[in-house]
Amino acid sequence: MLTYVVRRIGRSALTLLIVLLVTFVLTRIAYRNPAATLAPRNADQQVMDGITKALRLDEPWHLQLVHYLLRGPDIQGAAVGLLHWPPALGYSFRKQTPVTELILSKVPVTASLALGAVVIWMTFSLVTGVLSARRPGSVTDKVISAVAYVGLSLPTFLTGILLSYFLFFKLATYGIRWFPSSGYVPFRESPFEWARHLLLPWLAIAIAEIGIFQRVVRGSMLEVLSADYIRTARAKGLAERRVYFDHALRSALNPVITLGGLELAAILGGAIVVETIFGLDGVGRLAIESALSGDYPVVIGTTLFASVVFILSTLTVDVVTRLRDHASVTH
Amino acid sequence: MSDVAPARATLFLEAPEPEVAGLARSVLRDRSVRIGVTVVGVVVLLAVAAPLVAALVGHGPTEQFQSEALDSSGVPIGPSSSFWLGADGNGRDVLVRVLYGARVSLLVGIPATTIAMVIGTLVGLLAGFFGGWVDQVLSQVTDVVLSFPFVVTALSLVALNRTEDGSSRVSPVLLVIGIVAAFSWTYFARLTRGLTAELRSRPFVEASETIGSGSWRIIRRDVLPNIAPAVIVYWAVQLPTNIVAEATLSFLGIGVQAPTPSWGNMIADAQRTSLYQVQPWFLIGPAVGLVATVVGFNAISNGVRNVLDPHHGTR
Amino acid sequence: MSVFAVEDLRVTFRQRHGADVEAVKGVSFAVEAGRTLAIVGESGSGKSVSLLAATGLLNTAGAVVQGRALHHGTDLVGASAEELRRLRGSQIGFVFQDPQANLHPLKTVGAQVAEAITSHRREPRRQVRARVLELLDEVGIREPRRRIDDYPVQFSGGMRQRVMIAMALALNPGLLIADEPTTALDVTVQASILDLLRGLQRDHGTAIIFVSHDLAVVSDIADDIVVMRGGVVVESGDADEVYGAPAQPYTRELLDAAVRGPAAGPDVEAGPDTAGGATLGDPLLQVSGVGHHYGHRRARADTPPAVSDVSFDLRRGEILGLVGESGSGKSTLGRIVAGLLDPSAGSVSIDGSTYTSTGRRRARPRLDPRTRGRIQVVFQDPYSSLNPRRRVRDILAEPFDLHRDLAAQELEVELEALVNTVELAPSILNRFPAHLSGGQRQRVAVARALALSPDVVVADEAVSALDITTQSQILALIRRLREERGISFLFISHDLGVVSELCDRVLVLNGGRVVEQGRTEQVFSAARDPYTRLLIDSIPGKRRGLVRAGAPTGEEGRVHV
Repeated sequence: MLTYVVRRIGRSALTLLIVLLVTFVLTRIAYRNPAATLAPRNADQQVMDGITKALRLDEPWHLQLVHYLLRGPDIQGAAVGLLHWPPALGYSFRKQTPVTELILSKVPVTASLALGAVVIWMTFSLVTGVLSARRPGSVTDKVISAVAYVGLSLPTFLTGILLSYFLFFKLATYGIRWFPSSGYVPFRESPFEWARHLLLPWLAIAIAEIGIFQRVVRGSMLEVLSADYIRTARAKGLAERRVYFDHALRSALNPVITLGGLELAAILGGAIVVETIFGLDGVGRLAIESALSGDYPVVIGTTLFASVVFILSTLTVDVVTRLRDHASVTH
Repeated sequence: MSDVAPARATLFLEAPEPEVAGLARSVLRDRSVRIGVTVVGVVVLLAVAAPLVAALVGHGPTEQFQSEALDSSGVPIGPSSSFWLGADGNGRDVLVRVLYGARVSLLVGIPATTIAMVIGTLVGLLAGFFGGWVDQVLSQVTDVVLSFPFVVTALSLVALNRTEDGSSRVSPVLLVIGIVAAFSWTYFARLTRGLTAELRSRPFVEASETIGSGSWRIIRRDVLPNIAPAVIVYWAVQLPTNIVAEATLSFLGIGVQAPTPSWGNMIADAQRTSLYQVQPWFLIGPAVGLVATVVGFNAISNGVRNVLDPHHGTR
Repeated sequence: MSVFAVEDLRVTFRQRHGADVEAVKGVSFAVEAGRTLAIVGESGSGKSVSLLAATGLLNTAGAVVQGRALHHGTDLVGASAEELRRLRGSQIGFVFQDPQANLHPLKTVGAQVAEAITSHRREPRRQVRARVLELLDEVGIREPRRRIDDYPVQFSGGMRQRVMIAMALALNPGLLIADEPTTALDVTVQASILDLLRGLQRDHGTAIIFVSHDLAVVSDIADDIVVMRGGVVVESGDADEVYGAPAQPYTRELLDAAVRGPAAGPDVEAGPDTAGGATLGDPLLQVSGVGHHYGHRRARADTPPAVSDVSFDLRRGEILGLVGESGSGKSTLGRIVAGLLDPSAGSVSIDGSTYTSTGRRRARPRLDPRTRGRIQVVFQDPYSSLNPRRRVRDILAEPFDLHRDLAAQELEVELEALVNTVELAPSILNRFPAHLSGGQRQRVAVARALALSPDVVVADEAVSALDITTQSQILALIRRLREERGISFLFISHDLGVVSELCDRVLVLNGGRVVEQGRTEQVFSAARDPYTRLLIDSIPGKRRGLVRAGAPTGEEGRVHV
């Protein structure tokens, strides 16, 4: 088990390195006039020369990479160097802020968005999935499956627009202002306002995911319910509630966990869309803004951030499923 | 983005009909498939007929009719006898643009998914069949691609595609096809790798070995025919996902570029200008097109899966 | 009043497409306290379906149950789900076939046994745990205190079945329904489980319904017999009568197939000296000092080898039996001989030329085409050994395509001759495997193995997945192929009965080592090794003389007559 985790971490590190390499090369090729692209709007030649020198833009790209990885000279008081502790992702000359600081300041918004969405989609899909699997083909099953089907077929950006149109704009025309159209209130300031501001974004992400997960839970439950050990549970005279929620769900969770990890890992994609629609100032918005404006240190930073999130969540899922299997498959 | 990875790879080995013709017949009997085929058929028909409709109403997809279709304050008109679904903020015919948008969706989605299928199946076959270092290298490549944030990297690629004077090196549509394919082949690779590895240990593959079949012959005769149904079903699963991916990229302004109509950039237009609040068809038109296409393809793949794998279905 | 009586039970499956299927067509039987009723039939006879239907466990949509199932006079057909739930576990205990599939993989065995109690009674945790420990001890699980919190995967097949029995008996029910409880188990384990059931019945006076496909297995335990076929009862009555004088031809057929021991046919009596023209005694295949170790080099120190230091000869025209229980290494050995796996040590040679290699660890050994054609394999499961997407014609043409350049017409002649050899009609060539029965599939698999005119065929549990009557047909086919073509067979099986009937010589494998080898009659009548003796003693059916002479009749004190 330990060897497995160590090997798995090794592979993740390699993946991260390749992602960095590819992104780095891509952005360096994308540079036309690098210093001018990176500099603030009306910077003079002196500033641009400073940037060129600080990032060693006059040197070949592989030397720039070495410089990016190992510690170089501080730029305006901020450390550079990914392999330095704490890791530094570079400096955004446009925003006059170190990239690490910039990303970390946006994480709470995106994390709140992801966390709430996951809680909502998991709860709903588990409950509706089990309900559907109880009597496949029944009216309940058909209604739930049809609703899930529509959810699954709605692109996140469309769900977001529809939610903000009906639950914000339409309600507002009747004078009801339950949901704000945009903005973010930190949890520490007011948990209620935090949730109220995030509810529509959460739903925008969760609706499509419920569509997907409801079907996975249902399929997985149906498969498990035909297993011999479920018949054994019934043969013991176990109440149906325990058969479903204890025996069957316990085994049916594996594909849900696996897919959950993958979807969670890719949540930044959904976050970009939802943050754009609902005006949330999170990592997704930062990523798309920097990419559109050519602020490459931030692009590399957010790409690496997304990769780390992806790698960590898949790693966690692999280890968790492995531990669960450990109990049942090997010893 | 809701790129669904195959939650569980299913080999349709116990499919009721081993013969292709018989299988096709029982697939077409399925109600879900019939609904899906009808919806998709209508979408395809409309996409093909788009120039015809444009000629009929006399409005090209990018032509602007600011005097006829916008009122004095610049607000687009609603449905009328000449603009059946009304106009957009630039005075263009929404109906004509929606129909042309269907073309873009299909022209991006179908080739992108097909390319992804070919690449992914090849990679998965090699990794699953040969195992060992081949598998290690290919799995590492797959991991790397999977861990790239789709939208952010797509943005870098779009930026890369722009030349100094603002024009594009390759056509944006081709670039979008490339980007979507590059990010979706991994799902096919995972699927085929799992299925191939499972088939690899089946006695009938070993039986082929004992009569002296070589690796390529086994791949061609024993593995491919048995994974093909699952791969084709997955193509139909991935296609709507990829159509949504194109729409999302266009919505974010990095896919198909205006003035070329695409459902994604039309919806973005409607949302950005908030004009859909007065001319709802501006939003409803492309939204219905997109959702109908996705629902249609989902219904087909869902039905096919039910027929091939009776354990999974509702019966 | 009977503990449990089924009267005119009918089970119909409503199909969405096509006609309804009547799986059980009016079945009646009854069992009394302290007695054992055996229900015997081949797969599809409706034996399991009728019991599941009678107890409300049939979990199939569209199943319609009619008739009566009386438990102490109360009809269970039509009883509410809650009434049935209250009976199951407390009044009726169940033991099913495959203990691996029937225990929840993610729950500890202690928790699963405890549930049998807590689903009917509210009891303090500690009291439940104490009772679980008591039960585990009663069914013969050693050190229950240490094992109670283990997961099923940490138990062997036999131990898992004991856990199942503990679960079924937790509330001391008056009726125990055991559905093929020993079928998935090794023969020695089967004997001990049968012993356990008999002991528990003696102590608690439980009525047992024992379902099996094998008349030999139930012969030692049954008081009454019901023989089923195609959803109807063919014959029923007192066990002595059924075994002594079966009234129906079908029962006699089953009984004949169940009789074990070296066949008394003239071909074997004549001695294994001549067969198919080739002189026996001419060593064809030589296995010397073969060993195999699974896993990585580093892990090897901890795990015992799957096979170690095995040597034997296979002579021309000989059928050599390779016998062992699960984990004995017999399949590994078979794969090495078949050239599907490289050994870690030793070598295998045919006519003096070695075709295995111990050097580089290859994913798959590559045999030169000539040798490849000389050694063929027939696998256990005829359902997975044929490519479902290819017609029989394409499957059988493959070896010819690879090794011989034949014109279409010549190929057709060869294919027809081939299916003829395995006693199939030429029309089968156009069918897909899905449209064939298990027996037909296995014949196709044999035909494929014969296409290249091999000298050696490795038959790995080749009849184990087949019904008992189909089994005897395939065995006859193997015998005929040996006679007519002088093919040597390495016949791998866990079923001593089959081996003793078919093989000239036997090799007994235990823990990867050969513990005994010799002429079949000799091994079965005078085994030297204690493990071999244990194996032979465990062959079911001695009590009713279902084991032919040649097998020992001693040591029967263990089985109370």
